[in-house]
Amino acid sequence: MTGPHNPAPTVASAPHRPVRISVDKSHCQLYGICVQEAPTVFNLGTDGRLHYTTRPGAGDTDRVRQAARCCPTQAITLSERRP
Amino acid sequence: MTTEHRIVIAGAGLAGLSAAERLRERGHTGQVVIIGDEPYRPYNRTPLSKGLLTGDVSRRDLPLRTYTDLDAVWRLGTRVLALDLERQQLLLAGGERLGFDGLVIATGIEARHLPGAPVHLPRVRMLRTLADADAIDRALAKADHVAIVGGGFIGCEIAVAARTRGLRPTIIDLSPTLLAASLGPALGAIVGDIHRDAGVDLRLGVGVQGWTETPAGVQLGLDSGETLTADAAVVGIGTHARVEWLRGSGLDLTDGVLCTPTCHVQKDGNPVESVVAAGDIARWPNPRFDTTPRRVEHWINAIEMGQAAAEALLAGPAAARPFTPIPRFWSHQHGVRIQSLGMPALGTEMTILDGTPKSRRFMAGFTRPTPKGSILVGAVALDSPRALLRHRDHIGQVLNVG
Repeated sequence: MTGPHNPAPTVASAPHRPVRISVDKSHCQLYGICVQEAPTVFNLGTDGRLHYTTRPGAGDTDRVRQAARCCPTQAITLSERRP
Repeated sequence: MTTEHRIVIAGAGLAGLSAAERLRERGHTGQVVIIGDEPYRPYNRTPLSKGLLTGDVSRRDLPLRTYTDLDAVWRLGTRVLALDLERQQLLLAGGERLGFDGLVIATGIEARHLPGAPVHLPRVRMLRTLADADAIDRALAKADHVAIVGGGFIGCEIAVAARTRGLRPTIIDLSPTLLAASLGPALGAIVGDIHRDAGVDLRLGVGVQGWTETPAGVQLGLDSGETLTADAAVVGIGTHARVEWLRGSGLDLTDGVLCTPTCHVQKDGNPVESVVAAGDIARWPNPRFDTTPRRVEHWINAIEMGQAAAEALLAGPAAARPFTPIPRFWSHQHGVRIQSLGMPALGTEMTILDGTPKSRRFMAGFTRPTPKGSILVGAVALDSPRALLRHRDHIGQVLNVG
């Protein structure tokens, strides 16, 4: 019997659209997991605050999605925007 | 062909969801069937011991989001009874046989029962599911004194929730410190002080010998000879991998499902190319640390391993990359953020790398000796997320102090 990786043709994943980021500051506890996942987009400042780019480029979408998935308090919301 | 090419995901938790999303992201166009025994689509379990019990998180916030259309067939409220590897079939409740071309095993864990604990009583509870959290919520609503058996993360977090609700919690654990297994005795003692300062009563180094039901609650006989009277009790003494349905399949089920470094399950010492496992149930060797297979019960691991297992299933055992994460977890206890990186439990020595323990704002590194030098295997930070960020890339490397 064939394995799952043999017969099914896969399509190349579509290029991601850029996203708009919003962070719910009332839920964010500043664990910095998003900084670990997407360091070019999120940053924990020396002031103890979270800084981030609200409109990162399409090339960051994968990492930003992972940041949103891994956020301990699920405080990151992404919306698609036109390139 | 593709609709006939079916990947079944057994388990509708975070690992299963993450696997499903990654299958679609990597272009799998065949069927994806997700089987879960709870009646809900995947939801976030982390608030069940925290915000859901304090009212800071509502049920509306629990469903987990995805960023790709899963186009999945959902079989919720459905139990998987057995796996037939030879025929590539699952046996479901009611006698249904469901064939698969690929299978992701992600049925997770359940709370381990403490022998003698009368969990049939409405006021004695364990925590795993949303239904359990609802039952604990109802028990706490009528309680003042709450006995919590088990000083791990679940027990500690429920104590925090109980204090937030103005109740009087007592944590009982056989270990002399809280969180001993995850953080080690020195940090466990600091977390114990944080709990005491917040008004949590700790009975450490003692076990529960017997339980007596009373009209208003339960009495717990401790092996110190003392008797605790409580209005409600929560037992959180560890977990048990949900492997019963895999018995007889030929897989190694010693503490979870044994996997190769690529998340494939093994039969007779060889990887099974059509079956992977992910999340709390999977025991695999992480070559970043050593060759010993272990389970990792962290939320972020369920995400990362679900994704890795999906990729490995599509790639096959020969081409798949090993799954080598730096495990991460977090907990919030009485306003203090506890975060961990790597595998602190593998360390034989602890060094403070940032801040001071007295200030309760510090980071500790856990090392073990190797011929190359002292390797940093893990780090734990209390209220120091920036220090943790600085050391993330040092996990698995020789530690240069100073």
